[in-house]
Amino acid sequence: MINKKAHLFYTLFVISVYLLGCQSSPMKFTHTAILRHINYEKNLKAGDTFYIKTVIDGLSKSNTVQLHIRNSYGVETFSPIISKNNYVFKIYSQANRRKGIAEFFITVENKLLHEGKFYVTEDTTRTNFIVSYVGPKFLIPNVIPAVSALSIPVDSMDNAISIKDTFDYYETDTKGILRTFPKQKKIGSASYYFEPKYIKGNYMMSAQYRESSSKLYAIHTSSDAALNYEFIISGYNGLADGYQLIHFKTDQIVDKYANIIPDGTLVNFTIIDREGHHYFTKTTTINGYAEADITQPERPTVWRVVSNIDNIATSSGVKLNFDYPIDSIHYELKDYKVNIAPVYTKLGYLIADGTQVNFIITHTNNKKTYTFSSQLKNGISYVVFNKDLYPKGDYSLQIEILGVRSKVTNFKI
Amino acid sequence: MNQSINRSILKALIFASFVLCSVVLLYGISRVFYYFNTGADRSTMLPQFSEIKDVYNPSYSWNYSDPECEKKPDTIFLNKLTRDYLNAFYSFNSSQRTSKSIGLKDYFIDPIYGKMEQYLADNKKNKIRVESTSLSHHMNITYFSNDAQVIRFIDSNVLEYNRIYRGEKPFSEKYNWSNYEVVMKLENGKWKIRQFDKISIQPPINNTSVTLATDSTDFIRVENGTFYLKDKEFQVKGINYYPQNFPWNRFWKYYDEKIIKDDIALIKKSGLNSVRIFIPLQQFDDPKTFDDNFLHLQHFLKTCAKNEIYVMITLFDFYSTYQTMDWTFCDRHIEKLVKPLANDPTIMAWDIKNEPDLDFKNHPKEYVTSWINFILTQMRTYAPNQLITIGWSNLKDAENFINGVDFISAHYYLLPEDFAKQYATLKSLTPNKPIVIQEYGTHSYNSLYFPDSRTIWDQEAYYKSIHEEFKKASMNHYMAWTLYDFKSIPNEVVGKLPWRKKIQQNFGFIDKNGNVKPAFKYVAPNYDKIVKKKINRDRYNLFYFMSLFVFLILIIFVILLGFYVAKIKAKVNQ
Repeated sequence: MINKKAHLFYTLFVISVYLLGCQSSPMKFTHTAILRHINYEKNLKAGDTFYIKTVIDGLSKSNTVQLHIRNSYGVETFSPIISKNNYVFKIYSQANRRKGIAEFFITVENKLLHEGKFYVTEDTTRTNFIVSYVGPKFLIPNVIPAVSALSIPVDSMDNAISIKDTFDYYETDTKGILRTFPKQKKIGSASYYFEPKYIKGNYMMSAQYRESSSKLYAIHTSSDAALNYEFIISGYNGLADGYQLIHFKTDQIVDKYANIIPDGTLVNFTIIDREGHHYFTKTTTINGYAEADITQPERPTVWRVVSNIDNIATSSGVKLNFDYPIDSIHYELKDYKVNIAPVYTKLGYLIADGTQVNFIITHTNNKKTYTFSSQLKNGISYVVFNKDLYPKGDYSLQIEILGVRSKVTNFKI
Repeated sequence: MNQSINRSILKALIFASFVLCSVVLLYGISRVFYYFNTGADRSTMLPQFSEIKDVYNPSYSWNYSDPECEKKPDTIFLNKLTRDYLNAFYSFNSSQRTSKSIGLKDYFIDPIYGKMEQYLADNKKNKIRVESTSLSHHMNITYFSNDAQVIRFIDSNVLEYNRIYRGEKPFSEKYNWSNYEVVMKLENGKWKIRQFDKISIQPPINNTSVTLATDSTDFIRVENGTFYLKDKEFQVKGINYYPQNFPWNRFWKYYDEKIIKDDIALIKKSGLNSVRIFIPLQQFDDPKTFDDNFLHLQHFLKTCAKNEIYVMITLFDFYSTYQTMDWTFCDRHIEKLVKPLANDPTIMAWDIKNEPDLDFKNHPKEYVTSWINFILTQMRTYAPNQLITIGWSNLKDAENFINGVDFISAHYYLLPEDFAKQYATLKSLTPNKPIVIQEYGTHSYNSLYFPDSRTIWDQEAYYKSIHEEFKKASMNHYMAWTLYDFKSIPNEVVGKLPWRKKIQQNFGFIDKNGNVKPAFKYVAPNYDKIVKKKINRDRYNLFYFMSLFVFLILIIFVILLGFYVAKIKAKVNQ
C-alpha cells in the first residue's frame, strides 16, 4: 500500500516537473525539412481555386508548416492538407482574388523553407461594372470648357480589367448621341478628354465596355462671360419735372458664343449729373434683358448714363438733358391772399401734385427776405399771408416752382 | 508626564491627518472641477486626418506623360498629393506592423479599405506582422482629370524593404523594386487611394557605379590592409575630441571658433594626425539648428585641413530606435549632411554609428543590423570617395559587417594583457582591412568615496601597457579617448549618478587646469613640445586628507548626538 502511494506521488511529481518545464521553456521542435518538389501555377486568373503542391521530406506530424502570401493589400496565412510528405495548400481567399503580383513564403517552424511569386490576372470573362469618374460636372466656356473621364472596367472581384476590345464613350450633344473612342487606353483603364462645350445646356455622358456600362453623368455647360451691350431709353421727355419715369432696357446680353447670360446677373446703371453727383440703380437680368426705371430730376441738369456688369461687360454712355418743365407762373395777390393759377408743363399736362411752391417776400427798404412754401394740388395753390408776422413797409412777392420764377408783385403792409 | 507626552503626540497626529485629508480633498475637488471645465476640442468638429510623421520621408519624383490633359498639376497641387500618397504608404506600413487599421480609412476608399481590414484581422490571428518601409518613389502621371479630382499614375521602382515576422522571429527579409498602379480620388479635401495594385516586383540591382571625384588620390584610402594618403602609408594616430567646456551635445550648440582653432593647433603640435568627432542626430536634424551647425562643421573641417588633421565623423549620435519606419528619415539626414561634404578629403572616414552593438540588448538584433546595412548602402552612394566604418564597442562585435566597411573600428577598454588575443582573432578574419582602435583609455578620477578610483599614474601605466600590446600585435592605428578632462558632462551620456559622471569627466590627457597628464606621452609623438611643466599629483593629496578629516568629524558628531538624545530620554522616563 505504501509502495503504491509512493509510486503515485512519484508519478505526480514527475508529471508536475515535466509540465513546469514545458511552461518555463516551450517545447522546441526541430526539423531537417527539405523541399523535394513544388508545383504551382505562375499565372492565375482571379477567382480560380489555386493549389501550391509541395513534397517536403524530413518533417514529422508535429512540425508546423505554413504558407504566407503577400500581395498589394497584406499577408494571408494558410495551412496545408497533409498526406504523407505531400503538403498541399489550397487557396481560395483574397490571395487569389486580388489582381497583381503576389509573393509566397513556405515556412516550417517559422523558418523560411521556400519562397516564390505568382501573378494573378483579372477575370476577363466577365465585366462586372465600370468605375467611372467624369469631371467637372459644371462647365464654363473659356474657363473650364471640357470634361475628362477615367473609366476602370472591373471584374466581380474589383480587379481592373485590361482593355483589349473596343471601349466606347457616349455623349448626347445638340446633334444627338455621339459615340467616341478613347484615344488613350491604359493597362487597366481608359481615359478620354471630351471636346470642349461652348453651347449652354445639359450634356449626358457614359462609358461602355463589352456588356457593361458606367453610370450616366450629367454635365451642365453655363454661358461664358457677357459681351459688351447697349441699352435703350424710353419715357424720357427732357423736362426736370421730378415726376416722369425714365425706363432703361438693355439689349439681350450674350456671351461670345451667343449664349444668353444667366438669369439673375446683376446689371448696374450709373448716372452722373452736371454737378458731378453719382446715382446708381441695380437690377438683374431675365432672359438676358435688364430693365430699370428712374424718376426725372426736379432741377434742370444733364445726365450721363452708363450701364455695366461688374468688371465683365459695359455699355456705351447716353447723355440726357433736362430743361425747366414750365414756361411761366400766373398768380393773383389780393388782400394778402395768393391764388396760383393751374400750372402746366411745356407739354401741356398739369404739374404733379405735391410739387413744392416757394414764396419769396422781400422788404423793399432793408432787403430782408422772408420765404415760406406750399404744395400744388391739381396744379393750383392758394395761400393767405398773416400780415401780423411782418413789420410794416413795402414788399415785393415772387413765386418759384420747379426752378422757374414768376414776375415780381409789390404790395404794402 | 508620560500621559501628557502621549496626548501631545496624539494631537500632532490628529492635526497632521486633518491637514493631509484637507489636501487630498482639495486636490480631489480641483480635479473634478478641472474635468468639467475641459471639453472636446472644437477643432475636432472638422474632419481630422492622421498625418504623416516626420520620420517617414522617402525620396520621390513626379513625371508627366499625358499629353492630352489640358490641366497640368502645379507644384502646390503635387505637394498636397505627395503628402497624401506618402501618408497612405505610411499608414499601410504602420498597420501591417501593428495589425491595427488606425488611419487607413483616411487614405483608402472602400472596397480597398475593407479588404485591408480583413488582412489585418487575419494577420493578428496568425501572429503575422510586417516591418516595411518604402525608400523611393517615382510617380508617372497617366491621367489627371480636368477638375483636379481624380489622378491615375504608375509608381515605378518603389524601393521597398520588408521584414515579415511570425511570432517574434522574422522568416523573410528583403528589398524589392515594386511597381504600383494607383488611382487616387479627392474626397473631403483628402486624396484617397481607390486602386492600388502591385503589378510587378524584382530584386534591386546593386548600383556600384558611383561617381568618384576627379582627383580621388587626395582622399585617404585602403589598399591591402593599409591606409594610404597619396602614395604614402598613413598610420592613424588620433584622438577623440570635444572642447573642454562643451562636451557631447554642447559641442555644436556652443561652438567657439577660437577654441577650435587653438585645440586643433594643439593636436597638430602634439604630433597627432587625426580626430574623431560626433554628430548628434537631433541637433543636425532640426531645421532650426541645422544651418548653424553645418556651418560650424564646415569651419571645423577647414581648420583641420589647414593643420593637416584628418577627421573621422561619427554619425547618428544619440540615436537608438532603429525602427524600419525611421529609415527614410535617417536617409534624408545623411543625404543632407554627407552629400555636400562628399568631396572633402579632410574627412578620413564616416563612422556610421557609435557602439551600435550595445543596442543589441535593447532592440531585436535584426532591427540594428538591418538599419546598419541600409545606412551602409546609402552612404556608399552619398560619399563614394570617403572611407566608411562602424565604431563597435569591442573587438568581438567588430566581426559584424567586416565585408561592408572599408576598415574595422573597435573600442577597447579591457585589460591590456587581453588585447593581443582578441586583436589576433579579429585580424585573422579580415587580413586585408586595417583595424583602428577607435576608443581606448582609462580615467584618472581619484576619489575617497566612490569606487574605481585611479590616479594619473594609473592612467600612465595603463597607456604604457596598452601601447606595448599594440606594438606587440603590430597594431598601428589608434584614437585615444579623449583629449580633455571635462568640467561637466550632460546626463544623457552616462546618467545622473555622480560616480559614473566623475569617471567619464576624467578620461582626458589635459586636466581641468590645463596640465598635460603623463599618459599622453604614449599617445602623442611630440609630447615634450606641449608640456609646460610636469604634473605632480598623488592619490593622497591635501584634498583627500581634508575630506577624510571632515568625514571623521561628521561621524563623531553623529555619535555624540546619539548619546545626548539617549540621556534626555532617560531623564524623561525618570
